[in-house]
Amino acid sequence: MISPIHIITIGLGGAFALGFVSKKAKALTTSLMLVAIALMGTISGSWLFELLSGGTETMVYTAGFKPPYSINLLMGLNEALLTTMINFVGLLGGIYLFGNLKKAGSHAVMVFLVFIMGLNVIVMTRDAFNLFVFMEVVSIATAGLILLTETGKSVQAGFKYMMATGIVAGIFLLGVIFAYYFSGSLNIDDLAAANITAIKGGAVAVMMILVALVLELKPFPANGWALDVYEASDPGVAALISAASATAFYYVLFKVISIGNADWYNIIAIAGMITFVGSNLFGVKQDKARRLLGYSSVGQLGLLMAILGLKPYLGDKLEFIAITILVSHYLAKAGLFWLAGIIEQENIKDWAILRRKPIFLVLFGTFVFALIGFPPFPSFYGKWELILALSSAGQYYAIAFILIGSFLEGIYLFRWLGYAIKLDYTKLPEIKIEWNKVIPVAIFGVLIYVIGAYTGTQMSGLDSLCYGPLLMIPFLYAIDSLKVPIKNTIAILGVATFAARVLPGLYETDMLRFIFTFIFLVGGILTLIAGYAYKGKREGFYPVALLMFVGLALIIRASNTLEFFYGWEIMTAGSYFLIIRGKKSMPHGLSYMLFSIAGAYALLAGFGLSFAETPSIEISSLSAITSNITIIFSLLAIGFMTKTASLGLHIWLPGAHAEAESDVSPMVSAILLKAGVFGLMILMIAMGHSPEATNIGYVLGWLGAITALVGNLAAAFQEDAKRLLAYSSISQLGYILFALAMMSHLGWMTAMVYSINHFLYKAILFLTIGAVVMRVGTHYMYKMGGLIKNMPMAFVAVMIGIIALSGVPPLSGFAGKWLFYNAVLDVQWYFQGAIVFFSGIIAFLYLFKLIYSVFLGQLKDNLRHVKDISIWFAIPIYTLILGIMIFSAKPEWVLQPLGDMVSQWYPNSALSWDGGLATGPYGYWNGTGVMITVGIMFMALLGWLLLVSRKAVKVKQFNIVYSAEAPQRPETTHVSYNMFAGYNKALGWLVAPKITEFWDTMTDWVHSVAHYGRQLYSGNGQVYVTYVVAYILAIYFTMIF
Amino acid sequence: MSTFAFIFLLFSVTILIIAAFFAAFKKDLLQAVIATSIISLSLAVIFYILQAPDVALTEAAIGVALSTIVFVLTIRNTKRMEE
Amino acid sequence: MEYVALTVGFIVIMAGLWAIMTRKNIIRIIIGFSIFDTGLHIVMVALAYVKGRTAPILDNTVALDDAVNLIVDPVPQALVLTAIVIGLGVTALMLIFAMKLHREKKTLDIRSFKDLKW
Repeated sequence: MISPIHIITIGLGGAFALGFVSKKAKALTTSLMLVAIALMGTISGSWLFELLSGGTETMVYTAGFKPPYSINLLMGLNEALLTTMINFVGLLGGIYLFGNLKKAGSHAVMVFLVFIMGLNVIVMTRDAFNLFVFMEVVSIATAGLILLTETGKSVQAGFKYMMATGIVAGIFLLGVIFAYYFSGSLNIDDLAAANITAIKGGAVAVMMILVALVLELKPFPANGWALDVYEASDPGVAALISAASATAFYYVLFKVISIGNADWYNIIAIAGMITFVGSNLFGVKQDKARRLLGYSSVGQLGLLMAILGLKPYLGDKLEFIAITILVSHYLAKAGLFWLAGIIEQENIKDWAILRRKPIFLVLFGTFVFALIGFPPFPSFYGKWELILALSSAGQYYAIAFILIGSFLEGIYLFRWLGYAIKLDYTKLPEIKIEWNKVIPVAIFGVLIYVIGAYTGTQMSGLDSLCYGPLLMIPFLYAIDSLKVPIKNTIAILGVATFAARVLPGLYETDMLRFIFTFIFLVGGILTLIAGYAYKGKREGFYPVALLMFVGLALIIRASNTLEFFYGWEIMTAGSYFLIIRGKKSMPHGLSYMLFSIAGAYALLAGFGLSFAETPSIEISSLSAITSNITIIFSLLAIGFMTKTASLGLHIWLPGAHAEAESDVSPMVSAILLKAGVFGLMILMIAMGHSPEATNIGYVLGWLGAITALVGNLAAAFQEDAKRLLAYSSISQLGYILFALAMMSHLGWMTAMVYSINHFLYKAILFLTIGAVVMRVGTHYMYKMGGLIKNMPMAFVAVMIGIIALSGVPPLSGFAGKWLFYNAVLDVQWYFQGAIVFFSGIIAFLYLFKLIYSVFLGQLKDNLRHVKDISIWFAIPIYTLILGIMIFSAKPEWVLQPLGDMVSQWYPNSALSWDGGLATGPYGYWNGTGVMITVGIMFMALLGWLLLVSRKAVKVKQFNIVYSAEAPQRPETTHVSYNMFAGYNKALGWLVAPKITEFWDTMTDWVHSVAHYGRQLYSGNGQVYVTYVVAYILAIYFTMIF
Repeated sequence: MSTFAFIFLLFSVTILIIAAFFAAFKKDLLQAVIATSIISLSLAVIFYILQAPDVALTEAAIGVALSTIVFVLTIRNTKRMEE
Repeated sequence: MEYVALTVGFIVIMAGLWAIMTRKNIIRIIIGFSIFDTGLHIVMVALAYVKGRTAPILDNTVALDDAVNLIVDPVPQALVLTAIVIGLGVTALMLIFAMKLHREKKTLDIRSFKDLKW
């Protein structure tokens, strides 16, 4: 092996030798520098390879003496990994900056090389003073690199940087010299062994060393100078500072922390968590792209610092967690800064320019998701292990801080992503493509997936199937330039293949999973069929739709909480992209994402706590939990209820569903919401039998009842047809929650029947209304009317849909209602039951409004020639109608297996079956009989009507004598405009947007805290120095007391 | 020897502190820089007394000469008087 | 003797910090850094000093085999040498920044360089 000392010889010697190359051969100089960095990288890379394949680490002693008489360097696995990372980003960063370096000449090239070399030494050295020297070298080199693109701002930032690091270096030196005085050595290992914290002066020396290293990691609030540097230096330089310097300095703290005592871990953990939360909070208000990246960088370093400080609780997981999060940060942040340099847009709203080259948008999205910690990126696993380990150690505050910080980071990153996806880019310039800048970003973009997949294989408990189906997504993305019919067929085939593999086996073994798989995948196929109605390419639709379906399938397949959470996050990502595709969906996509992240973190915390109890990640082990049930159950239930949109957590839903595309609305309504139901059922099966869970169940029952009422009321007051259906979904999910919360046989039967029914009729209604909207071009019902003649297929579909929804016989909704009353009587929830019953009556209001205003009444003039809905929508709609018919005619085909299934968990007061006749404790019912009776009545009535209508006089629409409606009236006087004004007066207060106001207030509050808080960063370098000094004093006083 | 060195040390220290005062307060930056070089000079003396002659030499060369030169060059290129 | 030097060293460090944090002229701030470094150097040399010993130079007066007991600790002195050189580098670079700042706004008042904030 080549000795690691040659990394330094090549770096220093190269920088020196570059001075002799002719000043004019600028390209040559720069290329030689890249060769030098590549050589350094080869050395460190070969060591990495050697050590990974079982080699032993090596210690290099300079000058032939052992410490303390000489400086020694260590090349272990960590060092090899980090130097490889540094040299790699150095090489790519050098390529990225090739033009700038060439222009700036050989001095800049030397500085660049010395910068990278210095970082290598910082990682490897075991000598405290050597560390100081190279910290200064790097600091000077950094200041030089900041001047690489000289603007007024970069000079200011550079000066502030020098001021802050000057103080920090001085404190570090002071600490080192005192540590030497007390221990007689400069070697870090000797210092650690000497345990000088026991001596009074020694403790101060350690304090000065460690506080200086913490300050190098830009702790909040002593980090204004760092933000300025990130904002003002060239993005290529900022990428290096964020990826390479931060990596090196983090590792310095990592190795030097051993000289401190146990208290130091706490101090660093707290400093890290404050940084993570504080800088992400202030980031919320930021709209300058690079400064925002700076906030995010600083925040991520805070998280890493916290992880180091939590070392005593993380045990042997520490390195895995730290490395996964560090690598994600390294790749994502370098990639983002480089992207910022390519597109040259300062304001985050102008990042919509990325859509000029969609691959850039994909890269941007990749980096954002990687930073937040979504699968399949390494940080996902890091965060998972972190929360699990912290839960096991009982560090609940740390969990709360870390999750809150992550959430705040999610706010600004996803807002930014939303801007990039949705805002208008036509007025923005073209992107200048320079290949030397694009290639590094692309390499990092690919690497983050590769490393993520590799990390996944290192996790125990993660089935390879968890990332296998994901390969569909890059494939679909690769063929994104094809036309819709081809891609649609491939997508359907993909889902169908998966369904065909999974479903048959499940029917015998696991009824619950069979039903939900059926809803997710067969529902998926049906809604995808509607996609044939679209013309053109529909770019980006298929990868994200499949992403959601894969996620849903993974949830079903999950046998442990890791797989479940993995699938949950995949599904969230996919559904987010689906939702945000709608024309006006930008804010709704964001609020959906934020509720989803918050919900996911509640789940994560819940899974973490349950792991701490059992300790196992198997889902089945949830039932073995004996203590902390209330908190675990609540956290998980809240997590799932963000997807079922229960009252309080529902405000994302109406906008998201209403503004989505016509075939996306049924996907995210009829199908996606069931993921929450499935989660709740899994949770209740495992933990529902405990008394604590029963108490929470009582609360959930009330919540479900109120959700049902408020959802229906709100639906009745909508003018927008899709919004009406969206509120209806909230209410229906309220029914389901109510029924689930009973945790009894009949309750769960009700819930299952409602789930299946809601899937059927909501898919029908959303598909039909969506198809109608595609034809008429408006969501507003008062702009429609009289469409029955033009759209008989749509009319029949909506008719059947609303009959099923309202729960009147003979259709399957009645089965749900009947079970519901039995169930309420069984558990004696009379009052809640009355509320739900009342809300069922309100449902008639909006259902009437829907069918009346859209299909009956007068035809609008502009819609006179509108055609019936597309055949591609009609096929799935009528397939679903067939499903409803079968379910209605032969309910026992579904209800009997359901009953057997539910009896596993709740055997009491089951229905007994005699052919088609069901007998419960409170009555009996024969679905087929009802169907036949009502069918005969209906036919009789229809026959009579037909007979009578022969006498009816047909009039033209503008025959005002008969029709009594003048054409061209203002919309406000339309009958269906504000149709239920009277009810609104009486009951409107119930649906006053109190909850929306609550969340708005919360948002405002966060924004104003961020607004006032960030004024701390006044821009004055002296003030920043004051913060640095105050930070040192604060730590000092914390140490004393 | 020791007492003499001690008195000499006190003397240098006094000069150093007075010079530091000038360096911090003189309106004329050039005078402030000269005060800084006086600091370095007395520092060199202190180093010598503290048995560090090599450090004293370096400090004299760098602190008194080089450092002062770069300061003076900068002041020539910017502003001499503090406003 | 070393205590006097140590005390003075700390006083000088504080004076330097004070200048850095309160003086508004950028060159004066850099002078502050210079003073701050000076203080550090005094502290380092003072820590190495041992009463009654000579400079760590091996000549006729210091016997080789007994050198360890006769000379003051040479390590901190070596460190100070390095630190002095680094200090010069840092000062020079800061002065370059000062010139560039002056070129930009024709003033050396640090309060006028607040374009980057929040």
